[in-house]
Amino acid sequence: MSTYTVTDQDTGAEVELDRVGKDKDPERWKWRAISLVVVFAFLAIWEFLPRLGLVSSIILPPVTEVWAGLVELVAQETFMGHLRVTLVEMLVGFIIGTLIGFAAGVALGVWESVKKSVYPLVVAFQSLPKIVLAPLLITWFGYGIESKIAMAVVISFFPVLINTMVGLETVPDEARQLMRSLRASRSQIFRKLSLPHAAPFIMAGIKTGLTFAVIGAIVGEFVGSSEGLGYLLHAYSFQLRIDKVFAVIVILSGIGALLYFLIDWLERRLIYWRSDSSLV
Amino acid sequence: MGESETVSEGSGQGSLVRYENVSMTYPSTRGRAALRALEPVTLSIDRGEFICLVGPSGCGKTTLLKITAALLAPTQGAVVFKDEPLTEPSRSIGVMFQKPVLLPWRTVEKNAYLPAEISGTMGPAIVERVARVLAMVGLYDFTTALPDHLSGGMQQRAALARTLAYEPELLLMDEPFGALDEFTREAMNFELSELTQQVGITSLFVTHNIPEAVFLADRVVVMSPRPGRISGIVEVPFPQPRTVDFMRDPAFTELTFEVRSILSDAEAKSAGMQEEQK
Repeated sequence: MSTYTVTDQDTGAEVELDRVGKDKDPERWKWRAISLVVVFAFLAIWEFLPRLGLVSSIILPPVTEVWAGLVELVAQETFMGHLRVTLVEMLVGFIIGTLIGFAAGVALGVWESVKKSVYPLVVAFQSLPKIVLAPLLITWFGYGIESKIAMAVVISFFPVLINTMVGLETVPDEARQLMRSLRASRSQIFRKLSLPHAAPFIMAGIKTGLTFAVIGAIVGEFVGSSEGLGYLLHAYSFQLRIDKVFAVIVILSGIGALLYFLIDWLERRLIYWRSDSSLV
Repeated sequence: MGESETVSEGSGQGSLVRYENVSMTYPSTRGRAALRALEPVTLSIDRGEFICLVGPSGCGKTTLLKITAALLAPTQGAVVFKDEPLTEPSRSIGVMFQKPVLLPWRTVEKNAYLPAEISGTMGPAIVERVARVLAMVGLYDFTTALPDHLSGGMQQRAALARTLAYEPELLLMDEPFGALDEFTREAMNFELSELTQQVGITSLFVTHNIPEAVFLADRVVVMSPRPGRISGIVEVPFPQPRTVDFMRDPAFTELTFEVRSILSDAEAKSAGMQEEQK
């Protein structure tokens, strides 16, 4: 966006600094236009494959029919209920998962003894494809919203845990020595050095965790539920209402994208210094 | 500027730091033999004095600096700081590292507030002092810039300001300008000489650059490796602050050669003692 000019004290040169660091690619608009063309070409192929009879329109309904299905779906009075259920599952699961992941990551990253004793278990859990837990969680927590929240928690806490731990462990040695030479206490080192240093890592973990929470809630609904967007998708699929299936998919990707951009925006607020920089 | 008379042995009232047979041996770990990093060192640093430790890698200069910062405990002997044994980091001792170690999420001035925040003395007096020190190191226009936006030289200035802002009595520097280009390094040395004189601080500066050591120091402590030890001390009886004129003085060249010959003598000696290194 805006730039400001300063004089480098060492070389005397005038340096122009980007305030936000946006690249001013002169060809940016050209590539935007081209990518837009690619999107339209994709949609056009989708539209004409079934229309020309190359693919059965039962298997692949044209884009325009998907759009009609979407409008119809949103207009149904039960739709908002399904949407709300899924959103609650995702968000509550995501928040609980993030809190658990953060707390566990701090414990592992700060106390060497905790890491030594617990880390093998963590790795073992990580190598488990968490989706296999879905039937079990439904047996434990029932058909309602709780089992889907549990699924979202189980699948989303891990990236936050690992990233928090790694972020706390990668604090440069010289920075620790500086803090020690200033007689900083352990809690001061944590608050003023380790935690902000780990923040970019933690945010990256939270972003992944969010995507995972969406997956967890939907998979939970697939396995066993009576409401939610995953349930709808599953049901429409069985009824061969493929236009509606696509409509639900569009809504789910919309939710995913919206949440992701929200987190991304938050990240740029919180991690205002360059995220690729370590200590200088 | 009367340092040249008091530099000699420096025991007694004028001394700020005394090393009494300080030695360091890193214990053996996992099959690696114990490493004798520093043979017993006895040395005294006077108040207001500028000492350079110069020597090749492995001569124990950084070890000695870290012991002085109480970041390392010596295996034997003691460091006496202000007539008291030094056992833990002191707020009267400031440390500068080869990297500036600025926190990238804090602006230049907030980085300089860090020591005061940690010691719980943050207040208007610190704000005023930081502003003054930042102006002194030429960062007046950059108080609210983030470190990533500064050049390497300016980052080290910010680190120097952070150290000076809490007014330590002893300034420890471990090759602070080692990562800078030659031109910037020279400019920084001119300024450092001026600043330390202005503030009246005692300095211990580690470098492997002989001209840099001679330029800055009242006394150059020459160290050699295998095992790390002091192999000679060269006095530099020229007034502080040093300027480019000092570099033009034939005595400057002579002194650098003196340091160099102490180093090569020591090397020949240790090469005679042990057959081959590395």
